[in-house]
Amino acid sequence: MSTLVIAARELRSLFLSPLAWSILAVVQFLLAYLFLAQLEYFQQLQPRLAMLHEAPGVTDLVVVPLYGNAGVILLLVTPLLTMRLIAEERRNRTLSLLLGAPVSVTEIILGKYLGILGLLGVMVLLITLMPLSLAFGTHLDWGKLAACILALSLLLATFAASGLYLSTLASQPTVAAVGSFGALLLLWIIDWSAAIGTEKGELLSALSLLHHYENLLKGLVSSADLSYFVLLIAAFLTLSVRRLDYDRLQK
Amino acid sequence: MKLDRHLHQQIRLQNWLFTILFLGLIGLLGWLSQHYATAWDWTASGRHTLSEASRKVLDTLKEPVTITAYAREENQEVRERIRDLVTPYQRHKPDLTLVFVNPDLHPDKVRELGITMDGELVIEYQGRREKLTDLSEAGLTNALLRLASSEQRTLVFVTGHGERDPLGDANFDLGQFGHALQQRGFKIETWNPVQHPKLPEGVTALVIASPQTTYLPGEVKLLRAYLEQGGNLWWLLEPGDLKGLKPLAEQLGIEPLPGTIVDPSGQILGIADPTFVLVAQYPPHPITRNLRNLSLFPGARALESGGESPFHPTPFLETLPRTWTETGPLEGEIRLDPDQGEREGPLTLGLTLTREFQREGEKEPVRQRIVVVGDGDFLTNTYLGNGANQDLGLNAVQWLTHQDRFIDIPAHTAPDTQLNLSPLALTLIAFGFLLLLPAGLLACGGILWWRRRRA
Repeated sequence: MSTLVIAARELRSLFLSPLAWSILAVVQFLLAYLFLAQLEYFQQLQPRLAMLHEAPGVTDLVVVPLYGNAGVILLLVTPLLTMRLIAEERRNRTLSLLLGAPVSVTEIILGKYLGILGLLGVMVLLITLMPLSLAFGTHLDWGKLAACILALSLLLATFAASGLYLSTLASQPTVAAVGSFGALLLLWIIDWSAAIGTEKGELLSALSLLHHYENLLKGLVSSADLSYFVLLIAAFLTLSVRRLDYDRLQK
Repeated sequence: MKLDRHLHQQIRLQNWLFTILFLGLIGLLGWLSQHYATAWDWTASGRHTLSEASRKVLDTLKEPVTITAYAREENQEVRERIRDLVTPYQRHKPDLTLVFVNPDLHPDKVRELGITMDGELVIEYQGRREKLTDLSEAGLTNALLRLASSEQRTLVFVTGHGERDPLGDANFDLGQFGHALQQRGFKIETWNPVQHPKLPEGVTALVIASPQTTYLPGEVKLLRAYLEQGGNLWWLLEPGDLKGLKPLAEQLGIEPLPGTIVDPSGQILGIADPTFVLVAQYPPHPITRNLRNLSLFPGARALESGGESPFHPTPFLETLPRTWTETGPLEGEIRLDPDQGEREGPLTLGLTLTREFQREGEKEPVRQRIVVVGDGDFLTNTYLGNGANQDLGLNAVQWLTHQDRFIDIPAHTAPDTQLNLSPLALTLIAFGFLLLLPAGLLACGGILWWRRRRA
């Protein structure tokens, strides 16, 4: 119960700050621009598609790149949203108040996490409006669109969990943002190594966010990719709980 | 509770221990989840799912299959396409391995296998090989289908009359073609009817490749008997004398026309010799089904069918309309001369003959297949690499030996290749998402901030 109370409080404070609104607006503008560019490209390509064997469709050429771009842009943006979660409470000395309240550390972490997930859910919804608008002109590949939405949701949930953990470590919100951004970027680019195709390359691509994200965007929903995200989220959340617990004990 | 230094240290140690064990557990779960995975294909066209036909073919392959993809590292797009094509096969058959090789780093291997295209696949199964350039499910499944047949197929080349050597290295020999056949699991033997009047055992098809000296009447009788009993035959002719094989042509009901085919199209492409015949379009026939390129026939003769015979003729190679059979000397200016009996194109260059008959004491009828081509040069070491010559030869042998099963697999077409949005709808989409929505979000933020500042 108190988890939901904390989540609601978090979500309210997020939406009362101009930061969340301006981030939503900027992300929406950038992605709409990329979406329209991709749509124009598709319309140029359309006459030639009819002649292709196994031609790709609107979903492959417009929707999948949109979600791909969304992944990159939100990689830059999510740390800004998550940086304040714990670090600001610590800076404002409100953390000890929160820790002293009759709620468990797990409830605090889950509440904060659900709060930020609420905001990110709004983001996914706004992005998904764009492919949905195309349904007026074509038969979308609904299964693939569902896989894209699932992929972006899991990706953002992972971003948020890592941001939350970094926020429990840092005493300054900006440090949390930079740390979280660095960690995510490393996970994103780890399979750019030249070792691809070898055994080492396989390990690197198994660790890579981008690799699993792109697999899901293809419309092939594999338990390997799903469990990668779920394990990463579980690990960051558990570590966050441990970290706050440790803080409380060491006080 | 009072915390002393000792307790602090203990808590820190406990914390470290937990973190290490926990990360180890996550790593283990991660490893397990990557190794024991199942996948669901959510795409509308089933792009990542194998068709029933492909799965059946895979089920017949009991031993490991290796696919080597010759694609450059910098060509990631092609590598990605190959991976997407092969992965569904690997999900169904885990011992199918895909290896990428950079052709630039292995020039000798590329030369040996005759790799010509970036992104060509070499599929190996039980020591037999198939090459594949068509990166589609139909292409890969049919290549696997050909590899699946373990039945030993033997081609016997008749020798003793200056025929082309199936494994020889001379320009006029068929060595490269013979090796290509061996890689595909064909056994190649030779037979000299004078030395061994009895035909070797287990012949799948007999080949007569452009003899230079005349066959003896006894040898012709042996060949006729072979055909009567339902044997498969591949006969490569050349312009000029039939070398005593006229009775064979009569038995098959074909008439090789006198003269050499001349083709002025070669001159457009910079070939000075008018006897180079180009075939650009193929009549519908299983042998030429997948051929897209030109094939080239130097010094060929035309054939005609229509004589009395139990065989059913079907042409599969035809020349262009501007060709003719030149009977005069091939020097100076040459022109079509109908008074000399010269024929105008299109001329038949290759045809197949089939017959079905009930052999005594056997239940299944025999399906006899014969291929006759008015040229033997197109398969020689000199000309094999030109256009589709090698593919044509291999397809002919595969058809001749009844390896022409072809599985049609419908393409995975996306449901949304057409997008019909009215200009108004497009404008609404553009304005709505690019301007209205971001502006609205900004306004919301602004109003909230302003109201909070006032409060």
